[in-house]
Amino acid sequence: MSKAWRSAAAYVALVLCLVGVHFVLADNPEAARSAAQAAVFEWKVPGIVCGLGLVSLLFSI
Amino acid sequence: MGHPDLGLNAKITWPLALGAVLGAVDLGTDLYTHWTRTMAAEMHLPSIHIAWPLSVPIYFGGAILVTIIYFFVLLPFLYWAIAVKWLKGRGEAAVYWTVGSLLALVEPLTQGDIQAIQQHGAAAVPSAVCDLLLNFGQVWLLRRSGLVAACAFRIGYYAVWHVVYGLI
Repeated sequence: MSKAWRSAAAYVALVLCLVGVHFVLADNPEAARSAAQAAVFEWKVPGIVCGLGLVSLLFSI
Repeated sequence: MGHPDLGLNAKITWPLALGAVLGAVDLGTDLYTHWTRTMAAEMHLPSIHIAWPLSVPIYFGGAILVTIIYFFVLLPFLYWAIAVKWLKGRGEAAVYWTVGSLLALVEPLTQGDIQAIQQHGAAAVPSAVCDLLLNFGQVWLLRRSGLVAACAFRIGYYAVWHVVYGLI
């Protein structure tokens, strides 16, 4: 596997971890210390951040 | 910013261990200063840490998300635009560290470290210093070993500072 593919695979793995945490927090909303903390793992924030990170990945490989 | 092929030790094991050591230093000083107890009281919370066992996945994901937000969204693009395209590779290390240092200051400056020192004095200093070391460590690891290593460093730190300390 080329270096670029390995970097992309590692990034996708990190994003999948965030998806997993989203579902954990969705099932346990009382776990967060505040509404703002819970909102960080709703789809919007990780979606935007990971999308921008994907663009950054292109500049880093 | 291309990284040489490094093994799992360089990308995961060592960054995790270094982060855990930094978290242990922060924890150790907090046991003496009781700084987090003061913070929790100010926020009317029993603790600043999320309760076990959900602390594990939430801080794990939080470490990844924060690393991407603070460092991975802007640093590679700015490095590429300034060092690679504009300066044609001249002073690339200086460009990286200038941009990286500015980004490393974002969390300490926006999470209230300075105000906390102004308000509470010496008790807030160790935590602010650890915050700076955490962020500069991530900038260093992002350059040396890549995004996974930078994430692993923060995960190691959170594992001790938030998860283990949350159990004490």
